[in-house]
Amino acid sequence: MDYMVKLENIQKSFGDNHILKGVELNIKKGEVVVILGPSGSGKTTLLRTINFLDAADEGSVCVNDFKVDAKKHNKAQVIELRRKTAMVFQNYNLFANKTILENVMEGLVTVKKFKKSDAEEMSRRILAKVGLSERCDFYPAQLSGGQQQRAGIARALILDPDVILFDEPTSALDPELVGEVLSTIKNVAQTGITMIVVTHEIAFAREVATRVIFMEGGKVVEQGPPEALLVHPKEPRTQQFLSRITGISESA
Amino acid sequence: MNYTYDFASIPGLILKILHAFPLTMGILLCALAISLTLGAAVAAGTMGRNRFLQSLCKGYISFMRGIPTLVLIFLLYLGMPQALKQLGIDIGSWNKAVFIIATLSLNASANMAEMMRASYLAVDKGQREAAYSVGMKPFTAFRRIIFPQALGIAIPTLGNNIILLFKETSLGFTIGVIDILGRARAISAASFGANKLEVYIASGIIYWIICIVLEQASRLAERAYTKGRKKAAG
Amino acid sequence: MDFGFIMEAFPQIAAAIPVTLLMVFVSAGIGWVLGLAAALVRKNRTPVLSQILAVFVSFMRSVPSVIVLYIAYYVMPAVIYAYGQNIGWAIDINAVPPIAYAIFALTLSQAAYSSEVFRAAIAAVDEGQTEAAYSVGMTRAQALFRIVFPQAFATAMPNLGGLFVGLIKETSLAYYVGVYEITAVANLLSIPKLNFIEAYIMTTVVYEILSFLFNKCFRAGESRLKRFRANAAG
Repeated sequence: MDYMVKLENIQKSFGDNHILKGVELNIKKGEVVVILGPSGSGKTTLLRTINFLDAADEGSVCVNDFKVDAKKHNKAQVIELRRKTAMVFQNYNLFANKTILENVMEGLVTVKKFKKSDAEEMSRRILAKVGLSERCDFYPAQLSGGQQQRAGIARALILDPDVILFDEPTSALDPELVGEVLSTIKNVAQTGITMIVVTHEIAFAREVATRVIFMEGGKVVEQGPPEALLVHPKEPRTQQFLSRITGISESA
Repeated sequence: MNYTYDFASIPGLILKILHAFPLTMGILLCALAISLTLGAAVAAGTMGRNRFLQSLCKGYISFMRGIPTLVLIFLLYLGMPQALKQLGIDIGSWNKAVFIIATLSLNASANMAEMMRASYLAVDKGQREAAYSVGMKPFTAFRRIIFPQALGIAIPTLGNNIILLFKETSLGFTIGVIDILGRARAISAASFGANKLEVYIASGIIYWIICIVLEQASRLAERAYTKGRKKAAG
Repeated sequence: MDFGFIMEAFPQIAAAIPVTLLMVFVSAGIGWVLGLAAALVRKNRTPVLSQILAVFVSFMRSVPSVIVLYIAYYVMPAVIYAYGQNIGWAIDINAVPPIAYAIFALTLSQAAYSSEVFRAAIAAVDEGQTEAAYSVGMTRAQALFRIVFPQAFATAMPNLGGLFVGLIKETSLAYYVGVYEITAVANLLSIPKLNFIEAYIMTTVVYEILSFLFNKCFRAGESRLKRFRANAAG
């Protein structure tokens, strides 16, 4: 069986803090994997080890048959790996010195060496898809959080990566802006691109995910199809977490 | 051509040069006191209601920031006595240190005024409103609420300004004041310039050490003063 | 006022402006590139090199410029001479113009001061910006040049402007190592007939105009570089 993303025995510590304790994960092409878990469970760190923003201490990351060993990686491998992935950040992290259009074009022009005119045409098209045609020439600081995050999604999408990593894409948003971003992500999911999403949005997981993973204490505790994991979790820790989360979302 | 240096003589030179330390400090302290006073007046002027006074004070700051200290020294030490003489006032016999103090005070007062203005404006508006709300008069509010907070904000810049001022005292030698650098040059002249480099290195080390002390003092002062007021770390 | 003197001297003082500007542009041009490099070395904490740089920066910031100028003036000939002997050349030290020593000293001082400015400005760029650059597959150099530096320069601009105007003023000290720049020319012209007031007023005017113009330039540059910040553009 060929996997798009294959993580083997990922270990990561920050100082004395053992964050990831040997995570194994295999993701097929086209899967939309949602990772849930309490804060401090290591889900964001796991995501960041996939594109080596945080290099794992041990284990290996393999994306579309390109395997990098955490213990003996070099710069060229890391860059190659990053060119196979794209990331959407919790705080958007749009390039502050570039307009929305330039943000989306940046990767195409600088990394993929596209002609500027081609890159601009493609970028405008994709910005139209996320509903930002009118905002092309604005700087990030002039947009709402929701608009910034949709631009962030466009910036990731245009690189045509093998997998897109979403790191809590709606956590920094005002509540009334969450909907527009989630529906954009839903549209992306329907294109069949492989996605890994770290989020707290249970309803979104249920609707969009092909598989849900529950992490705690640096390990995968339980995984399965959304219905099974979210409605009939087997592990007591998963049950506990879900009852707390849904309790919050019902009262909110 | 032959270059031979006697770097072992530097510690001895440092001790000799340090005889000028009290005079340098005297110049520094006088200039500091005057520049703070003058700076406060100018800062008040830039923030006052009087439009004319406002632009006068702003013009003063910008003028002082544009003129090299050396040129200001020459203007005051060489130019001014000449001008005053024509009016029948003779200041040619004044102590040279007076001119260097005057130059440094004028020059530093612009930086001091900018510092005070910025620190004053950095105090949250709500602080004054809160002070008024408990019935304080404007002056009381300034003295008890605004000023102490502005001082905390100003300390790092004040430290910087004092270090700048201290370094500028070195220009006293240009009109023959025997401060640290003046004394260093006198020592070198006494040996007919044979140990110029050693003398300059020795005086450089003196300035370096004093600056490090001033820097640490400023850091300590800031920590002591803002203790418990600022959030930890940062 | 001796207007005859003014008419005669002003063109000669103005003719020295290019000498001053040559020192300013070369020292800032080379010094700031070195300063940026030093800031990166210290940011990466490159062992040994970053400690050496920290000491260098502390020395240059603590020692008055005039002493740095003198040290360069007396050390450089020896270094050049020794180097010449090493490669088997007999270099005529006296043929090296004094301005070379002045530029050397001012360049090092600008490198030290600007490295602190750049260090703070780079530290002020959000880490997420670099991460985002990496996430789209950029190399370290691409991330620095395309994302981090443009944002850091916008932050650094006001301080760089201050450094630049300070440098213009500092070049007046090159007079003491024998460079015929603005202040030196004015001074020499004033001596025969003791036209101090006229000479230094003219000098002051020239420096004020230069400071004003370059302040304007940097302010314009700043608002251009800052156009991406929220309240800057419409």
